[in-house]
Amino acid sequence: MRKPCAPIQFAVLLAAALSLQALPAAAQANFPGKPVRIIVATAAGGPTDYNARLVAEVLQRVGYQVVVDNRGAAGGVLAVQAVTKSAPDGYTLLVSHASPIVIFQSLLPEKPPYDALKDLTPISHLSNVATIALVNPEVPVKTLQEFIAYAKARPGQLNYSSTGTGNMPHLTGERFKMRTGVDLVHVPYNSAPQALTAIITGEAAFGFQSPDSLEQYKAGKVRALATSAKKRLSNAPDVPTMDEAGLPGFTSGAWYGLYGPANMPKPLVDKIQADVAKGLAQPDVIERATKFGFELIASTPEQLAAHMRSEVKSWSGVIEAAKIQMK
Amino acid sequence: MLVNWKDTATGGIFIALGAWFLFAGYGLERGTLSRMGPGFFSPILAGILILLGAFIALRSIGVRPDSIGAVSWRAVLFTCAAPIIFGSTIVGLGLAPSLVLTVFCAALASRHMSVLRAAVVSLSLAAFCVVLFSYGLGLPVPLIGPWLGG
Amino acid sequence: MDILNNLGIGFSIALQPSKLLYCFVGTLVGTLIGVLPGIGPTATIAMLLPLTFALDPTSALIMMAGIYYGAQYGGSITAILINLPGESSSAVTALDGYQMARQGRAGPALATAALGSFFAGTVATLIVAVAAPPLSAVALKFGPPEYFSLMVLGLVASVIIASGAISKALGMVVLGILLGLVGTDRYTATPRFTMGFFELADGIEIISIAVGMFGLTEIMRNLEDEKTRDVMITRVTGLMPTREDIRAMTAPILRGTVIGSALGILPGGGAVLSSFAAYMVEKKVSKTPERFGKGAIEGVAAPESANNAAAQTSFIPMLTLGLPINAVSALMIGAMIMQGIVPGPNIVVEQPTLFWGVIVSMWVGNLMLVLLNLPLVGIWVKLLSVPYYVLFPAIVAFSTIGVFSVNSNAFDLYSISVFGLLGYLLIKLGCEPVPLLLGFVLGPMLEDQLRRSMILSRGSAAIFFDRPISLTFLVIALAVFCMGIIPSIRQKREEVFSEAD
Repeated sequence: MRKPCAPIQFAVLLAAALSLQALPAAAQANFPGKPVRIIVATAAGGPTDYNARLVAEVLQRVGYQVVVDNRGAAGGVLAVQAVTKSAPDGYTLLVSHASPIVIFQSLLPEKPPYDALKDLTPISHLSNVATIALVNPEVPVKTLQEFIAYAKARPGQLNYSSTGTGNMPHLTGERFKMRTGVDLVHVPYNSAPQALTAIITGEAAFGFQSPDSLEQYKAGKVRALATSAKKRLSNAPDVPTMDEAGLPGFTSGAWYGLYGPANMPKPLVDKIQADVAKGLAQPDVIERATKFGFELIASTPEQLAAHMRSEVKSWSGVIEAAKIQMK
Repeated sequence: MLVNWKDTATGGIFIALGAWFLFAGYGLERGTLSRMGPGFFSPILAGILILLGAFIALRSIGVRPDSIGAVSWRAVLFTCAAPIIFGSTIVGLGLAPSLVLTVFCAALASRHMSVLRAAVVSLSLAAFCVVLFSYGLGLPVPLIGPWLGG
Repeated sequence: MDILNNLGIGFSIALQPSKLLYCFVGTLVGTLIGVLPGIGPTATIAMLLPLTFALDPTSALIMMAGIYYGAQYGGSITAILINLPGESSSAVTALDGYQMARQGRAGPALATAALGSFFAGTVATLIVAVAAPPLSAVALKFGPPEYFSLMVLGLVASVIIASGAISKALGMVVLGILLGLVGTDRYTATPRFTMGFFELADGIEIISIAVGMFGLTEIMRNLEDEKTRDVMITRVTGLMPTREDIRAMTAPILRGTVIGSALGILPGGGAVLSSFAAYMVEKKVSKTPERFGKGAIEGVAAPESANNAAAQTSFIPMLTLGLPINAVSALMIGAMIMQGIVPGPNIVVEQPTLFWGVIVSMWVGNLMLVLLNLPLVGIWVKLLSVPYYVLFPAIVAFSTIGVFSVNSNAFDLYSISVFGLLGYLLIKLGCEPVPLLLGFVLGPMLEDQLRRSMILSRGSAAIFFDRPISLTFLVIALAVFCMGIIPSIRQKREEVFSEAD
């Protein structure tokens, strides 16, 4: 059962087909002279795809033609690889979540066939997504600190659910264990809904989930202890931030960025970055994104590059430590 | 001696595939019962496959052979080559020329097919597919690829 | 009279002209892509996702649901006509449906599929409307041990339905499971059996196996002796089922509907398992089990009803809990989120018009499917009179494009050829591909749930026997296995004795 290919609108495709034949190569001066292909490192429908659609929409508003091409295979490795191999002319861009960019190099036994720090041109950070710490409602705790105390009294007895080894909820969970010194058993599931279901049924006592899980909280199926967002979320104002819950600065790795192949000319990078930044600053775009817990961040290419480097370092530390604990 | 070679061959194939999975999975961590590793389940299955293969092969002895029927090697060759042609040319040549080649190759699998007929079939089918998939369903594959300057 | 009220709301939404239109478009597109080998509903819905942003959420969901169950139905058309299951759940339909087509009874086979699907869809929609919340509670009772035992039952069943030697069918299941393990191990991120190919990190593409082992293999078999096929199409007899056919299909449709509705609720594998389970039950209760695999109409009616019923009830966890259980419902949730609706357990209360409108539209869509497809039966059957030397290159073309559309990955195309060759070899040696396909689909889930259960129980296998639902499945699996293996041993003995005479 897998995985969708690129979605596209008929009109855009028609234009794409015609212009591909008509214009062999467009000069940088009249960029974008043909449709820009945004390769997405996941299948359609998830948060990474949502970021890509947002970029596509804001670029279309300023006259770009955009083709969105979802390639979820191998956790996004093949999508990144395809972008690193394409021409640095701005017509092939990548929207990716953090894993294939800053995590797989230290996590996977077989390294991805690229070095994201060298083989990609960072263009702009797009957004961060808050993570929510959830517990099963039968667990007799009301706050994050109470949970930490409860778990410390039961080392190795409680489970936490994730969407798979090396995915963000797992690494965030390991980061949580390192930070607080609790001993929780990791149970991987195949998808976010399954991991969430495990917290609802009590198979797992604890877990990190994206903000759409707050609907389950509102219905009383799970208890939300804290959110990693900087401010309390508007759709669940009673859930404290990590700062308030006593874990200042605790973040998840759910962030999304826009990249191109290595060696893109600087003026081209700047033009795309400026168009995206302008688009992401529009009030209606911000309003929609905030509703789902996306915090839009249009950074400079330099800021994104620095963020990538710091993330690589931070996660390789967690992975190192977690591997030791796994045995 | 009576031997049903068909079953002997089946057993042999199962044993070979089982052995390959044993070999390729060698070194995968077995883990513990409470945390099974990637190499816990597969050797058991590979072992079962080898045993089944041995059972089928042994049982073939003393049984009247039965025929495997006719085989058209021409069909096997051209049918299996077609997806490979498509896979190796789709990115470079683009959808339209790659389809023409693929269908032309596939068509030759039939004994009733002349080169002229195959050409007609491949050109018309390729045109039909381009309309259906590219324009109808919005398949995001260029019609003419970079090898042809697209 | 709450339910009548709610259905009233549903009908007032679903019968609006615009909703009827989107429902029709959805089922039509679904049927068409179901007929095209290789392209499945997930790929299609993903391709059409941007179009749905322009619609209101209810219309978007109605159309996507229509594509999903339309494709389930369309997939059985190719299964019957050319022995290429469009969906893994229609692999069983191909067993007897294709044989019926070879005997010139493609028309009745297609009509049976349409009628069975419609009946099952009607009943299952009613179940969704009446009992969705309690049923979703049942679904939550299924933890890893229950799934493990259910998968064991499913795999045992697949051995039984194969018509050849049981040892060969077992071997094919085991081989299928092993092939299903190829890829990255989810528990440790270790690559297994990938031979260093990153293209295999997500495992072998199932469509490559289906197209290779069913599609290409069938073409090679048909081309062995190109005269036999011409004989087959000259004897097309009757397009509609006879009175006898209708009598024969009634009970299987009822049983298939029950099985499908029950298994459809379970996340992962429910729809596939249901068609296999329904087929196995028919073969077991039949007085003439030897007709199965040779064109028995029950072998089409039961699995087709089951998989369509399952297609409807599989929406229950999504609609009542906001938890998607398959790729299609995950995409539908994605579409809702982009529309500004975050689905959760409160969706029935917060969005009653959306909830009931979608449910009622599923029934309307099933009605449209049957009205659309009964007249089309004649046209589909005419397809068989297209000269084979045009038909089979078309199958190759559609399949290759379809496979490429899934991941844009050339590797998946090379896999088609490998599995075409392997499938042809094995079929020539008397091994059926259907158990392999089921092993491939269910095997990884089997390992997954086994490992998860053992983590939860901290290493004690007692977890499978302590839990009543799990224990029940294991006992049934054992019984089914014995029922299947004893007659085959007896038969074998008789063969040996008769040969000795």
